[in-house]
Amino acid sequence: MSTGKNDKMNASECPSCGGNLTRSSKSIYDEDEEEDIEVPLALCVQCGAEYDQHTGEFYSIFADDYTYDVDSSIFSLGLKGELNGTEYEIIGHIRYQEEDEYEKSTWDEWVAVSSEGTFCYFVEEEGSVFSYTDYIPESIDLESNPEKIEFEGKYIDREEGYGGRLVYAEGELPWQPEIGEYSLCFDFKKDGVHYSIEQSEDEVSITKGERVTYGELIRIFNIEEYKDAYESTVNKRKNFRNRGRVYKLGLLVSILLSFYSCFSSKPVNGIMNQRKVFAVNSPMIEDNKVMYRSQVLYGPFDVTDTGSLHAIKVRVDESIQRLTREWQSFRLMLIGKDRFENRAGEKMTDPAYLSTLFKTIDSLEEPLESYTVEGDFWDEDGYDSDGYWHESDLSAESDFVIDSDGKYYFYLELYSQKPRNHEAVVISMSKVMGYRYFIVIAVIFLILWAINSVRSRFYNELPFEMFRE
Amino acid sequence: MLKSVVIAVFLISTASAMTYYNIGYSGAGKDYIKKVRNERKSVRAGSGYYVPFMSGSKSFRRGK
Repeated sequence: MSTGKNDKMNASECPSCGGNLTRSSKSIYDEDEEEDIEVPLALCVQCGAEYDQHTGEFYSIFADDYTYDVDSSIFSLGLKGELNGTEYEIIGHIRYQEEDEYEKSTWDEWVAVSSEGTFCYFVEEEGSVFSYTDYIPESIDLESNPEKIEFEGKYIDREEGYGGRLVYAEGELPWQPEIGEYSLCFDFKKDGVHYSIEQSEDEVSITKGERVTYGELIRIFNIEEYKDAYESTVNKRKNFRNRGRVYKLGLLVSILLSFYSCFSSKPVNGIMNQRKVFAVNSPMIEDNKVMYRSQVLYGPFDVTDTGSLHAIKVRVDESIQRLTREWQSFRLMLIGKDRFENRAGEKMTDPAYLSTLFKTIDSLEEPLESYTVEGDFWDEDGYDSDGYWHESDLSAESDFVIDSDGKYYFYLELYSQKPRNHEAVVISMSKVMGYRYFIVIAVIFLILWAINSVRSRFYNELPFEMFRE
Repeated sequence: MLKSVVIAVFLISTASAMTYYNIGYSGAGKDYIKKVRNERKSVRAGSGYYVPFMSGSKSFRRGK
């Protein structure tokens, strides 16, 4: 057996010339990243030979880069405990680095031996622990098929295997470890049981295992120092998980309420059934350019839901007239019939009076209108570095709360750079339900759910990583 | 967990109440008229405020 820490990691000599190896790097093209990346390599200062991460020499120089957290584990040498009726003692510890990774990607194997001389291997990786014991399969074939290996009737792609390089060793081990030594590993499940095949230069090791929780390990090895922190961590994670469920439910409720609100609308009918046209494409001069104004009064129509939220939508109906490479501005005023009649009196049917009234509507000291919506429709296209582009905005919407029911008119004023058919501008109004606050709380619930989900997985008072128990 | 239930109930209740009472939305009718009336009082005649819709200038048209 080998003893001591990393006791054979001094082979930092070039196998070709015996020169010293030193840390170096080179730039290579990474196909996944689609760019050049800088990768480490061991360089012989004498002959210039390069050794990358697929060589043992590389790890004689870089092994320490993968071991800075080697003490961050629930295990330690000398721990004793009873597993499945057999008493074990932890006697050795090795760490492997995944060979294909440049960044640290390690797993630890803790070797435990029983009083009968049998071994148990605790494999610790990313906060999970599996206990493996030696296993003799009924059948195994590693040689015949170049693409697959056969294990008790199960075929495993060779591509599923991954290479590991030993970067750390301490304690007593059943073999003489060498830093940088290579193992080809296959981890798989068969009939719900975990198996691992480790194939090294000299031997093949087959083990069968199962996941062991940190709670079980603390009990098995009676590790008093972690008991309180473990229980506190598990309880708090459970608490975060439950909170997350509540917020998730809140998210679902708020989304459902948003949908319900979105699709709960009742149209106001008859808005455009009656109209009075005061001007159609009347030319005007503005900044020495001609533009055209149209004025139309729609209504009256009935509005019944006092105190309810209503939405006005004004849009260009392109089936009547397309709006292409031009703009059109609009102003829409909601006018109560009572106020209108009070203002116009007997002249309600006098087009000349009404036309003048609407031309001067902004100068009325007492406003005639009850609500105003303004906006633009436009259509643009062109070419830029990405080629042809086309953008347009052919509708506008406004929400408001109406405070008294009754009969109303819509006064529509249109300005355009070209003469246009005023009938192509369509007005609609609906009683709607607001949904903005449900969207706001949905976002809040989503954030709270995400925070608690993350904390339910990663909250940890223990000095080592622990995945979900 | 009780705290999270209280927070969830509070958020949903608040959003429902604000939706039911249409808080934060523009008002048509008295509110609008009062606001516009005050705006017009504060603008002197000849200041240009009334000009736009008489002459069709760029008063409300943001233009493209």
